[in-house]
Amino acid sequence: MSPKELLWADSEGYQRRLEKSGIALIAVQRTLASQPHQVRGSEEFLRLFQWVANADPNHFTQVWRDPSAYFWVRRAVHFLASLRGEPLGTAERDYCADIGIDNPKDAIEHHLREFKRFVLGLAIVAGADVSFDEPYHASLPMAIPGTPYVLTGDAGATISGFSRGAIQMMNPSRSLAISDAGSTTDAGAHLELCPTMHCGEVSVLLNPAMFRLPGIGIPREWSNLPLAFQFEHAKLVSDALTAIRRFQPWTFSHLAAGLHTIALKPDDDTFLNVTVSELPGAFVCTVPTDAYLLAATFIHEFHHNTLFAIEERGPFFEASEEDEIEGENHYSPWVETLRPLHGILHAVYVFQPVFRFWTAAIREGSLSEWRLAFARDQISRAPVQLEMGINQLRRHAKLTPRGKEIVDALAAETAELMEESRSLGATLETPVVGITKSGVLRHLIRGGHQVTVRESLLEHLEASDIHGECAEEKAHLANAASV
Amino acid sequence: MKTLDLREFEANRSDGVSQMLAGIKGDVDSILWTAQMRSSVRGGKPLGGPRIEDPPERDR
Repeated sequence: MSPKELLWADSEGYQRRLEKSGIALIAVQRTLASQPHQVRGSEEFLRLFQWVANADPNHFTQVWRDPSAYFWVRRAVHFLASLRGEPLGTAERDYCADIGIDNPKDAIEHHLREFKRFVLGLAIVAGADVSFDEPYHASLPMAIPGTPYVLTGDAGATISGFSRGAIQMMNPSRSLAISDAGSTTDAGAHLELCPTMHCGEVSVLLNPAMFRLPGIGIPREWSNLPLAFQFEHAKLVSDALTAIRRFQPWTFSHLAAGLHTIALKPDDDTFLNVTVSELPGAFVCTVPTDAYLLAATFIHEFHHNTLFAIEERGPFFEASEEDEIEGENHYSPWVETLRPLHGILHAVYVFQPVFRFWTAAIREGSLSEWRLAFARDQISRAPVQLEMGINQLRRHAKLTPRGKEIVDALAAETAELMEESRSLGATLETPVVGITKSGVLRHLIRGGHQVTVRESLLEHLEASDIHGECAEEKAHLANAASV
Repeated sequence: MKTLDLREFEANRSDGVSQMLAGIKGDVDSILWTAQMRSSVRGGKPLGGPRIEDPPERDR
């Protein structure tokens, strides 16, 4: 497969990642089976594993393609490896810190108990009874994997199993019937249903509770918001998916293959939109916004997922003295702070299909005045940013042969985008258009003057390129201004 | 999405399972995972452009 095909056409990467997580689950089971007394809770895990393995594979697939399954199994692998002296990764250290544990043995014991949420999801999907030897203490709200159900309430919940179509609870003893989901307003533990959006072959849950996992490294207060917030903005999601289907059908087919869960959050000071490497097929977006901007954001965030899947075929960076993954050392034309090289590579990748979305929308010819103005900002700005990103990678990254192939393919694509931008008459004198917190598109006006894309790029370089890494590009932009 | 069958994997994916087991028992970095990272960044802006402020209430 050529690098270009790998980057844009291969939709099997999502399946490969899912299969790897299934293989990892078997490896976790075999590791624990070889030393069942080393980790407390192994016996029950091994019993539940057999129950899961004997389930209908279609039901298991529905549960195991939940983004949280990859999160669970990868942590399990790392915690088991750390029992044998391997160092913990960033996500595992953050996980331990989140739950107040400081050693891998306690961490894996806690983590094995969390497997029960997948067993519960499978019991619901299969309509099969299961009981736990040791009750599962759930922190609420809890997304039940593979289902649209969210177990919620003011306090935690103690679950002893699932039988006769109901979650069996303890302390106090009660049953929560699946058929009653969404009909109770009781402040105690109860079941709610998150929105499920359907658009053609794409089906996606709007479920913030899925992101309530220890160690995923993003603030999670917003995930406790009532599901009403998701329902309130569901139409926006539907409109965004429709726009992708219309203007970028090839990305739409990838969404059908790999998208699972989106969470919408209100604007706050934490972050805007996020994709986490540990949650395949999931991302978080801030609303309110314009439906077409949300479509572009979906394309952007989903392609982070795609690149994570591609990276599981082999690393992009050679080991070097620099921390390419977390070392915030380099200028990025997209953000104010310095960024790791891995982050810059991701940005170069994800902004290319966003550019293609806007050019397709412009060529189609029906954009409203403000959407057209925003699209013209994007297609004027993006090629310059992409070229700077490519230059930064070529200047500073020590790439593997695979990484070099990828960057070369992205550079060739950037050259094509520049040509496309010119053919649509985009120039650096295009007025900047942005979106406000209330979701309105506006020009950036300063001193009664509409700031141009060139001016905003130069201002960004001035403010954020603190090491002068892109001095050449800055001079080029400034000289072009004086012509 | 193709079906994931653990029994079939146990029978026919022994190479993958062995490689994963070797990673758990020896060098976890030998398993080809994606780098652990988050796309969110401090100061992130909508689609790479500047943030525009809402006008004061009186001007709306």
